[in-house]
Amino acid sequence: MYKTLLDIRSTIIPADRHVHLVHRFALPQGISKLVITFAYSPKKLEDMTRINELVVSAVERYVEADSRMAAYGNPDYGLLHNLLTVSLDDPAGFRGAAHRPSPEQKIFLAESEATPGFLAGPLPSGLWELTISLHEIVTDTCQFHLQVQSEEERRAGV
Amino acid sequence: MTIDWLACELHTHTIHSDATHTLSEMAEAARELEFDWIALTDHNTVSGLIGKETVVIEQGISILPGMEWTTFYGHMLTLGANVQQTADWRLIGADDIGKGLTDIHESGGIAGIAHPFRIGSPICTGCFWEFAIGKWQLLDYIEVWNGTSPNMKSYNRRAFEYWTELLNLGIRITALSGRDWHHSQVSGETTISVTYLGLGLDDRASEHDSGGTAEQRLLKAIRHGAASVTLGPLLTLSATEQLSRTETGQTYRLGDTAVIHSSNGNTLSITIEADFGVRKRQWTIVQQKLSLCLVGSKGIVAEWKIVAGSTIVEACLDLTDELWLRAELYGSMNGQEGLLAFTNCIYIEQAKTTVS
Repeated sequence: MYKTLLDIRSTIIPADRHVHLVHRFALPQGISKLVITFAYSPKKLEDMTRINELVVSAVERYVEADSRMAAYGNPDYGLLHNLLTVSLDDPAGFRGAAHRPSPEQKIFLAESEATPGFLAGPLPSGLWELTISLHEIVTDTCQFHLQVQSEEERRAGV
Repeated sequence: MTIDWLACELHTHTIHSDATHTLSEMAEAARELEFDWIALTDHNTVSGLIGKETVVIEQGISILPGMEWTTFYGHMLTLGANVQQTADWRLIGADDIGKGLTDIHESGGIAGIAHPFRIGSPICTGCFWEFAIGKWQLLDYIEVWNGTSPNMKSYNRRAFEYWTELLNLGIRITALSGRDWHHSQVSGETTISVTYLGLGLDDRASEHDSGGTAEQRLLKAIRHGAASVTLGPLLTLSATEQLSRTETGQTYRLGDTAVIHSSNGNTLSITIEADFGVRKRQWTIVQQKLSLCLVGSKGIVAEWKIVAGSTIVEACLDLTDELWLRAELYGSMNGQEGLLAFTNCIYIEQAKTTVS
């Protein structure tokens, strides 16, 4: 039986970049599996005018004058994305992070197994923290959906 | 004293962050590339280290635990086993890196700036170093060569020049390379750098290497500057006190501080060795005139034209007012012309008083 512990939808904007959104929630006793579903959209900035503005501004800020012409023309630089990452802490400390570009992630933790990036092990009751780190928001708005669900241990005879 | 130079790859990722290979797959590829050690530095997590011992045994390569602090204001590599328990990048703001570095050191780890001048947000989020640095002494190293074919990247040339500027200000900091290894597909023109870390083999411990676990000794070698970075041949530099024509004193090696008693007429005899026999199957330098340079805080001290083969050069040179010395090798590799290898520094101090 899955129980939803947290289900949040939110809209963020470029002004929110570099914010950590910390969701502190209580995990009850006797939980055998924790499932985190996280999705955000859009991923990619499509507005060419805005892309050009952002690339020019980044090149001027970060690239020395004599290397700028090559930088403006670098095709990889035009691929601009939102980047939101999830990390998790149990009452005792760090339990993992998913620092990867995918905008749709399903993460689970259990006693003996966990999604890569996360530490398998007991799921102690108490206050846990799920942090969404807003590394980059390049689109005017970005919607995310975060859900945390728990599965109870199956007891013999129940 | 003999030094054992260990071939290291100090910046790598796995499926536990954003790379495509597992630790076991990467370790196998690293062993084929004849590395002795790799550091696993996944973005913001350490879960990839679970099962490390099995990988070490199966693949026959040593693995150093680490992490890449992938923050909003810069990427920082941490090396050392317990960093995650005491240091948390999410609690460190743009002006607080000193606190983060103190936390890392208290956990027994060390830290270095990754690719300080790689283009930043929004093209590569947090890639350009924007943390304010209060105390440079808290930083253990800078990754001046990042990625494959590192000598061809303009952001690495800028990092190398920046390292030189710091040295000239009297800031003693180690410079290393890291492949930023995310996948194993490379083209024919790609060159792969190696950081060699020097451990003393003698009974008598060297200035920096006073024992401990292999992991602790590697971290100390980095902090000390017992490091040489290359696309192929291993460059090393030593300086021996020349007390008279026939009498020599102490020998200083990479990372050591050599004190010159010039009022006694003492000088340093410099030896640079380019060893072309290391990891021989992994790289090729076609026959050509290579330029081997001794560089100091005032610029090039001496230059030798050498052929592409193991070489030792020695010279007694005027080192007045030099703050540091390093060796650099220039030439062409895979059709790309540039810096092929460089050592870390021997630091120079002029003795203030006459020693009788």
